[in-house]
Formats: sequence, structure tokens, C-alpha cells
Amino acid sequence: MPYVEIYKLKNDGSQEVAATCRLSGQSVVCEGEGALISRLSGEGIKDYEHSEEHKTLFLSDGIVFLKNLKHAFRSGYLMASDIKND
Amino acid sequence: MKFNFFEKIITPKSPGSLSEKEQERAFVPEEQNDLSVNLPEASYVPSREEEALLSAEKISLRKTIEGGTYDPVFFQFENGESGIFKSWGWQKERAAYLASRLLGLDVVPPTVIREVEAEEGSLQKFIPDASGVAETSLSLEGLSESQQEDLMRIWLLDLVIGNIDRHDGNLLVKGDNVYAIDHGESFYKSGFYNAEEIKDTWNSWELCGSVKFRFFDKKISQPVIQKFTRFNSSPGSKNLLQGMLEDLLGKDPAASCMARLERIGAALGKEGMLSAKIKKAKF
Repeated sequence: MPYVEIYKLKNDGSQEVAATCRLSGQSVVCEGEGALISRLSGEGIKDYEHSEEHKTLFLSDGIVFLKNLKHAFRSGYLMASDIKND
Repeated sequence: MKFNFFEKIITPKSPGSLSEKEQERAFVPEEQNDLSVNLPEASYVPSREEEALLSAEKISLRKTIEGGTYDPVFFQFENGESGIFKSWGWQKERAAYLASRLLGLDVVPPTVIREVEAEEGSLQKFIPDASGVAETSLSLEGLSESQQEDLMRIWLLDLVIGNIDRHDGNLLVKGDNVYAIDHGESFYKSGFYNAEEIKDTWNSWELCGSVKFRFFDKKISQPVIQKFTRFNSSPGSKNLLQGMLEDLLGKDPAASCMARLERIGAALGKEGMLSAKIKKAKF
């Protein structure tokens, strides 16, 4: 099943997994750090791939949500992977 | 005749006299003396943090940071500095830092342009032990005074530089301080758009700055108003910033940024706040 990992940058430059968001049916389920999960669930992320529509994506948007995570988390300190598959 | 503007207003302090906040953030300039404000030319003096990043030579650690849409690199140097290096979009990272510093907002970590491993890009000072705001339960109600001040400064910076992608994923918090990072979606050519032109809304005020932490119709702190007023009344400051932005981004994005800056400074000077009506401004 498709999933995305969100990595947190540590002081020594290594990364640890802060959250994993996985497609479950048509929707996404995220596991990991409480506050981060709450933010993703409650506030969503921007739809970067259809920027002209200015939409916010939520877990219920499924694979589109997963695809856009890497655009939302690209600062270096928090980074989202490409979609991976189990 | 070139006047070294920042030598006048930045007096080197011994490290022991700087607060921890000042030591970790961009150096805060001293109050300007009146002689400097009317000079047409000024030259830029890098801060000590910038000098440290520029002079860091021997790499002690290198790690590609996985994820995102490009591959930034984490570097640690033998002189004790560490930073995040970007070889894509680096012009905007440097430009955002310059705007932040020259306006005295000081919310972007020190960022320089240099070569690392024969590749040109931006190297931004790493902030250790910081959390992304996305990892916290930080909300408008729970902010300390200092955090609120920082978020207000970040919001104003975003309006000046036309940042259409500010969110919890590119705000860092460490203690009482909040930092702005990742400015890849800033400095577009356009200015404000009125309702009829809102088709191309990537450049509208609605999308600049954080949706959650915004300060329309709220009193802006006096020190910040003074910074904008002072900057806008200084030909040397304006020419300096515009020239540096042009070098990085080209004429149109620089001109748009300066026009927004003028507009914001005028509104702050007159009303002490930015009314939501400024969203309809046209130029």
C-alpha cells in the first residue's frame, strides 16, 4: 500500500521518522508524533499540484494528499518522502 | 563616495555582551545615527554569523537530507558552524534573509551564497534543537509575547517579499523565538491585485504569509513601525536592498518587492497597522 514518511532533522544531520502517512482505502491514516498528526488531520496541507485552485487537502483526499506531502514538507528540518510502497 | 552604512550602525560587540537571543540570531543593528539616513549610497557589511558561514572551509560532516522536492545537504564544518545547503532556489533564500536583516526584522537565520564542494548555492545557519511549528501545538492563543512578536515580523516580511507559501512546515520554534525558513515561493514579479485581477491569485495578498498567524487590523509593535519608517526614509538603505535584490532576482521582482515595502511602510506609519483593505491596493 502507498505510504509517505515525514522525517525530522536532528542536530547531527541524521533524520528520524516523525510520522508515517499510509493510504487506507480511499483515505489516509497517519501515525507518529501527536502534535504533527493533529496538525495534518485538523488543518490539512495545500494542494501544490493544482495551485491555481487554492485548495486545502485533508486525509480524506487520499492519494492526492500523499502526493502533496513532499511539497508541504521540504524545508530540511521536516521532509516528506516520495510515495513508497510496502 | 561609498559610505559603509553598516559600520556606522553596527558597532561590534564582544560576544559576552550579546544576549543569547542576539548571539543565535542575526546581529541586531545599533540605532542609526542621523547622518546615515540621507546618504544615497551604502554598502553591505556581512554579520559575524555570515562571515563564519562564508569562512567555514573544512567539512567535518556531510549528509544529504532525504525527502522534499530537491536535495538539500546538511554540512558541519570544523570551525563549529553547521548549515543547510541548497543548490536550487538559493537566490530567493538569500534575498529573504537580506530583506529580513536590512529591515531589522531578523527572523530568517543567517544565509550566505557560496560554493560548497564546487557547487554554488545558499548556506543557511542550522538552528539546533528547533522544532517545526507543525510538530507543536502552538496556536495564536498560546503564544508568548516574544513568539507573537516574531510571528508578526514574519508575517510582515512575507507581505514584503510576496511569500505565498508560509505554513507550519516552514516555521521553526526554539524557546521563545520563531524563525522563518524556506522562501522558495517568494518574490514573484507582481504586486498587489485587486478583486478583478484576482485570477492570478498566487500573487494576491490573501495568499501571502501564514493563514493562521496574520495580523491585519491589529496594532503593530512600535519598534517594527520605526524600522519600516526609518528604512523607507533612507535612500541608502533602499538603494542597497533594491540593488542586492536585482542582482539575485532581476529587476521586476526587486521593483515589486520595493513597491510593497513602500506601501506597507506608509500604511504602518500612518495607521500603525495594516488594514485588510490593503489587499485591494493596486500599483
